[in-house]
Amino acid sequence: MDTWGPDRGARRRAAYRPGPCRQRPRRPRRQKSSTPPPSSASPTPEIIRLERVSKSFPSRGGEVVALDGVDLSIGRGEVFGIIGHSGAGKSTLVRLVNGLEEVTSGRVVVDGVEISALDARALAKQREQIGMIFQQFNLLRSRTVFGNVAFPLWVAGWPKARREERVWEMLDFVGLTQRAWAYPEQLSGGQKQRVGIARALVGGPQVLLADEATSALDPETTGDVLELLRRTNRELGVTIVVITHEMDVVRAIADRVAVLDGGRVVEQGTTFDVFANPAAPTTRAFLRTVLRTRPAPDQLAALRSRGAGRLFTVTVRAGVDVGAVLSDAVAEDGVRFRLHFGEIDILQGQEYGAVTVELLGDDAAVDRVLTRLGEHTTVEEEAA
Amino acid sequence: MNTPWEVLWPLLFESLGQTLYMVAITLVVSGLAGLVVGILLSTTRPGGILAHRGVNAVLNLVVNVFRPVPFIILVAVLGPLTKAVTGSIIGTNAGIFVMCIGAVFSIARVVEQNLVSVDPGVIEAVQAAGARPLRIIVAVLVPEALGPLVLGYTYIVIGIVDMSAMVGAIGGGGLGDFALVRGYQVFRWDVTVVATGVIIMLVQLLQHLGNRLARRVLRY
Ligand SMILES: Nc1ncnc2c1ncn2[C@@H]1O[C@H](COP(=O)(O)OP(=O)(O)O)[C@@H](O)[C@H]1O
Ligand SMILES: [Mg+2]
Repeated sequence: MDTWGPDRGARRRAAYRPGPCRQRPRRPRRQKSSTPPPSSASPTPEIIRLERVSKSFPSRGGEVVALDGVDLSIGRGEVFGIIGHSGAGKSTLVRLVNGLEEVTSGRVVVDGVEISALDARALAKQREQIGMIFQQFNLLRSRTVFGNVAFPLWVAGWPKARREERVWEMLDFVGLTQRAWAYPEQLSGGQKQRVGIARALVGGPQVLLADEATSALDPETTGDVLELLRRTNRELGVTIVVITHEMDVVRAIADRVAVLDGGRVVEQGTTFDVFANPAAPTTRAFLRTVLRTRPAPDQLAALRSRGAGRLFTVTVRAGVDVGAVLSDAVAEDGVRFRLHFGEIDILQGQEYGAVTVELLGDDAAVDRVLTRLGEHTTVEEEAA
Repeated sequence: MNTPWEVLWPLLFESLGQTLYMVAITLVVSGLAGLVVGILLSTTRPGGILAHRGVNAVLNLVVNVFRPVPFIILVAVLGPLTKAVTGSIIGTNAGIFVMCIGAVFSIARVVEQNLVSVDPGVIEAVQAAGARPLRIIVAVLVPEALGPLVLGYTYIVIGIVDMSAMVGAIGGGGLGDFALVRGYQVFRWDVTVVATGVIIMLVQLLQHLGNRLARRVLRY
C-alpha cells in the first residue's frame, strides 16, 4: 500500500488574496453599457447549455422564483464562475445541471444529453459524468477516506481491483495517500474538501460542479483548494463550474464569469472584461469588495483638506501608460502630481484598476494634462 | 416457612432461559420489521428519497393507532389474530407474537427518527454520485445512523424485557411469571426479590452491551 508516493506537499500558493469587505457608496460611472454577450460567444465547443431555464418552488404565499429565464453556455475545458449573493439562485442553477433539481421550464443540456428529459435510472448513470463538491464537504462519516472516494465506483459497479487502483490514483492526485484510512472527523477542512474532490473526480467525469466549495475554508486553505481545482482543469481537462459569493474566488480561477441576481444572469463575459468594465450594479458592488479603486468620502475629504491641487481618478487599462502621460505632464506642462490612492491588478495577463492623483499647477496646464489623459482613458474629477 | 430453594433454582434458570428466548426472537423479528417500516416512514416523507404522501400517511396512521395501546390490552385485543397465527392464545409462542406486534411500532419510530437526522447534504452527495434509493438506504442511511440506531434498539430491548414479564399472564413463562407465581402469589417475598434482581441484572447487562456496541460504531 505504501508504494504510493508521499503527500504532494509542494503545492503552489494560489494567487488568492482576501480582499477588504467594505461597501462604499456607488458612484455614477459608466464606461460601457453593454448587455451580456450572446451565449454563442463561448470560445470553445460547449459542454453545458441552459436554454431559457426557469425554476420555481412552491411556497406558502404562492411560489418562489429561484431562476428566471437563464441562458448560459459553458465551453468544454473552461473554468466558469457563477457569482451572486445569497439567495440569487446559484445552488438551484448548479443542481439543475446534474438533475438534483428539475427545471420548471426550459432545457438543460450537458454533453449533448438533455438532463431535464432523463428518467431516474438514466439520470443516475449520467451523473457519473458530472462530479460535485459542496461547501460542507458532505462526506460519509461511516466510511474512511478510501471508502468515501471508492463510493461512486462501487455504485457504478467497477470491479474491486480496478476500483482500488483508481482510488489510489485519485488519492495521490489530491495528496492524501497518507490519510487513506482516516475517518472524516480526523481531517482538517482543507483535507475534507480534497477528499470531496477525489470522490467527485474518481469516475472520470467531464464536468465538476463546485457549490461554494471554499466558503467554509480559511483564506490559505482556500488558496490550496483553488490550486487543486486549477490542476484538475489543466491536467485532467475537466470543465469546472465554480459557484461562489466571493469575487476573489472568481478572480483566482475563472476564465469566464456570469453574475446572477434575483434568478437572472445580469452580466457575463471573460473574467477580465467583467472586472475591468463592469456594467451591472450588482457586479460593481461585488467588485468593490475586492478592488479599492476609489477613495471613500471621508478619505477624499481628508485628501482635499491637506492638498492644494485638484483630485482626479484615472482608470487604468491594458495598453494605457498612465505613468508616461503624467511624466510628460511634469516635463512639458510644468504640472506636478501626487499619487494618493488606487489599485492596479493583473488579471488574465492584462492590467486594470484605477488611481487617484492630485494635479498641481496652473489651471490651463492641468486642463492640458487632462485632455491628454482623456485621449487614452477615463478621467473623472473628484469634485468637492 | 422455609423457601425450597433446591426446587426453585432450576425453575429460576428455566424461566431465565424462556425470557431470553422470547426477547431474542422478538428482537430479531420486530427489529427487522420495524427497521423496514421505519425506513419507509422516513424515506416517504416529503422531500425524502422515496417521497410519497399516501404511503407515508397510511404508515403514520397505523403506527399512531397501535403504539399507544397498553401492552396488556394489546394481548387481549389481538387474541383472535394470535390464535389464527400461532394456533393458540396462550403459551410462549402466543406471547412472542403479541410482543412482536407491541414492539414493531416503537422500533419503527426509533428508526424513523434516527434516519431523518442523517445530514441531507450527505444524501445529496451520494445522489450526485449516481446512487439510487435502495443503495442509499442500505449503504448510506443505515450506516450513517448506526450509532444512534444501536442505542435506540438497546432502549427497545429493555422495553421488550418488560413486555416479556407481562406475557406470564397468558402462560408465556419467563422471569415475570416466576416472580409472580413462585413468589408474590405464595407470599414468598424473598423469591420475588431474587427474580426481580435477575431481571435487573439482565437489563443492566443488555444496556451495557448496547452502550459498548454504540461506542464502537461511533468510534469514541
Ligand atoms: N427546495 C427549495 N424549496 C423552496 N425554496 C427554495 C428551495 N431551494 C431554493 N429555494 C429558494 O430559491 C432561491 C434561490 O436559492 P439558492 O439557489 O439556494 O440560492 P443561492 O445558492 O444563490 O444562495 C431562494 O429564495 C431560496 O429560498
Ligand atoms: Mg447556495
